[in-house]
Amino acid sequence: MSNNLTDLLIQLGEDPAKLQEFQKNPDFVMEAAGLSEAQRTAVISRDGQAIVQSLIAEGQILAPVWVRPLEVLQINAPA
Amino acid sequence: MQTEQVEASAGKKRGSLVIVGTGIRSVAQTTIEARGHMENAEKLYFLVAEPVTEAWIRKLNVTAEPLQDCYAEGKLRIESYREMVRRVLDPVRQGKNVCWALYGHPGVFVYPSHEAIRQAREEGFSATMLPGVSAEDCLFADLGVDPALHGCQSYEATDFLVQKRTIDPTSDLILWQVGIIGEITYKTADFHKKEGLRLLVDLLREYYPPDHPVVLYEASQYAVTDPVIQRLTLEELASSNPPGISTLYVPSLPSRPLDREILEQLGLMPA
Repeated sequence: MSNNLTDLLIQLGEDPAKLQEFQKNPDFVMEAAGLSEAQRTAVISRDGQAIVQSLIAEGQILAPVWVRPLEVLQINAPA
Repeated sequence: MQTEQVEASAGKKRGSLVIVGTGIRSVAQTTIEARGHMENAEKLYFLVAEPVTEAWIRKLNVTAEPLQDCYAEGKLRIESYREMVRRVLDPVRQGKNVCWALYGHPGVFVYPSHEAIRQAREEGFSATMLPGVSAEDCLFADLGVDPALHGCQSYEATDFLVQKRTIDPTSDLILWQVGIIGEITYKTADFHKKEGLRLLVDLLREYYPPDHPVVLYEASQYAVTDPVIQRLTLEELASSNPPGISTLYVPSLPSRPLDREILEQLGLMPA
């Protein structure tokens, strides 16, 4: 299964020069990365949720949203 | 300082624990020292919020193991944490250099990381936490807030309510997790509690007018995305629908006049 979107997002996170290149010419960078049309649309939207949906479509498993609870309350009974 | 470091490492058992943060923006906000520890650990554990960071971590170190499965629907949170601490400390006790990576800052609103450090040190192991980029740090940058200007009070939203925290409205206020007020267990579905927001707004109305501007904020998770910044009034907050990870920023009211007596005692009165 292709991980093109995942790999590109890793690369853009690791390499500021690559990120600059993407900001100047996003179509070129996305094409070179092998992104599908749907993935390119999600990336261009700059919407985190759209990108997450594309990652799921790529086969990434999205861990359920977990939030950090209120330990200071020391509540032990489940809701 | 050097003497303290030598003394600290002397007499330590073989096996160590370093806890690091991966920041909020995937990959990009991991510090150089954190990445180094993640790459070189003999055993790496991680607990992160999205799949790109997970994929990156798995590439950094083949021993990487997620701790997400410690959580379960309806399971007591404290039980999940105890399991995390046990799993992380097991290889430390076997003499391995262990690294645990958590998203954001590993010590901000995180119980098991501090507990793991405490237990490891109590058992005679070297244990260190390295700071990471938190959602609050991203908020300061994205909203242009300098917490030193008027001071900054920071509370978890449910704690703020149930502890009836008193605040200084002439100082900035940050409330974490306003989208899950009253939620104390792990849930897989999105959740929203209108009554919690209404209670929060009612309490904040004791300090601020209903048209006081506030901001619902979510930090950007990827290098190519924007933060979510929703500007509204305090009264509008009651009917809003913030995601669980949302942070509320309440800017300060105008400052009070300076205290002349204190100014004089500090020698700060103008000539």
